[in-house]
Amino acid sequence: MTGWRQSRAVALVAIAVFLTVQLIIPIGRYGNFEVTQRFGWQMFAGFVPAPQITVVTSDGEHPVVLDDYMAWPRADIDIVRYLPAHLCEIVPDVQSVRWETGSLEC
Amino acid sequence: MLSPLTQSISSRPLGLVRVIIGVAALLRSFVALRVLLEISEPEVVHIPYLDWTPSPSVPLIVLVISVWMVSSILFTAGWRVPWSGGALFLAIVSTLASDQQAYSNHLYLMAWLVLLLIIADAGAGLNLARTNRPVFRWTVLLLMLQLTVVYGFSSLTKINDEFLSGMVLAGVMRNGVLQFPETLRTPAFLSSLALAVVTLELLLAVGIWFRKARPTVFVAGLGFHIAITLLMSTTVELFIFSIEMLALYPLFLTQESLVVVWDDECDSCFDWVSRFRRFDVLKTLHVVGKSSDSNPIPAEEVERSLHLIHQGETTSGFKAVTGVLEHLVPTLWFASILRVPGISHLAERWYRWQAARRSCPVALRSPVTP
Repeated sequence: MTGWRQSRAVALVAIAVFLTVQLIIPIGRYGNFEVTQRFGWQMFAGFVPAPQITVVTSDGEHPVVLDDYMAWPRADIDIVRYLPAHLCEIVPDVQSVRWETGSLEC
Repeated sequence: MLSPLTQSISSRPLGLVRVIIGVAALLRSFVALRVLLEISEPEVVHIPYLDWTPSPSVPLIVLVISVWMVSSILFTAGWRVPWSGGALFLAIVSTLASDQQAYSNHLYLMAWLVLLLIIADAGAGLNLARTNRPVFRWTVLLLMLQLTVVYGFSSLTKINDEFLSGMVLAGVMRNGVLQFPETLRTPAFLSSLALAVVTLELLLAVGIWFRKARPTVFVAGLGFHIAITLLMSTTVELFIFSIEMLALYPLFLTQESLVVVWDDECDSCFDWVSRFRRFDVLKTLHVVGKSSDSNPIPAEEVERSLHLIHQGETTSGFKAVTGVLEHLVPTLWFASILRVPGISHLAERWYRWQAARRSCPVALRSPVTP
């Protein structure tokens, strides 16, 4: 058996670090237990509706199917921060991208 | 008071966890490959944690997943676990770090489990070299704490109006392998179910530490994981998550020997004990024949039924069989169901019926050793 594992001090430090990273950081970072976030264990604790995004082209407004442009549209991703700019780049003839709380002119 | 932390214990349960997590990691590599390849497609948005991180290229993905697959196989086999586990850990972490869409709680959990198994020297037992070095209790304790943290955190975060209303469950219990009955999709039932989920997760987090509650916890945990895997839509991910969590259960079993006292002149007893020995992966059984000098039970009682001496308690008949099954692989995950009233009564009657039909004496044989 490796020597360092025999130390009680190492054991106590390891347990303290483990619990800090696993519990205190997620709680401290997000301030509460309820939010669906990464690096915690809030599994299916809340329901975050996916944003309704549409692209506007010269022939009208078209709803965006998130799965067509995302590998995994997780609830903990700020989708409207990243996806509209990407849609401006790749959708042909796009003029703007709209969602419930904002829009982006391309 | 702190000396139990550095006490040395058997590495076999830890080795069993390593084998199961290694297999789960191999399965998960196929999901990672699919997700990463999708992210690399030009139509799909790249969502890095840091803006300057490049989008993963196909050659890089193939390299990472190849390392992941090979290292998970070596890790499962117990080959140089610090190295194979280290490579596996790096492959998982680089996948997690490549894009926010590659994150999932069960993958994050897998990274933790692999890291904790490396720290715990999980290659010490159940390995290709057939060695069995003891490990330190505190390293195993970290893995046990991991189970409680996951269930406990998950339960406490569900104590909110939205979840307790049943709305979240109504949303996630769709398109599973089994369809949730539409007649039960009522606010009252879903709300009660939500409360039951919160309570159950808390029971799993805490109850597993108590010996008396453990059989119930094992069966409840198995039922819970089967239910979420079959009823919820993200089946593959939940299957892997369930494997990860159930893999940790054997760490909570006592390492104290189970003394099985059997009638070594009886044919059916011989068959029972041979089967026990074959599935005694954790090597917790200590088998004592009726005619042995170390047999503490009167011979006429042993002739009537099998006896189990464990943690100061002596049980006999099917109760003893159940006690043994609760420490064997794979029955340890579901054997406690045999304690349910009704089932235990029927099983005991069946055992007595079998015992009455046994053929004795048998030619002197020793139970098989694995």
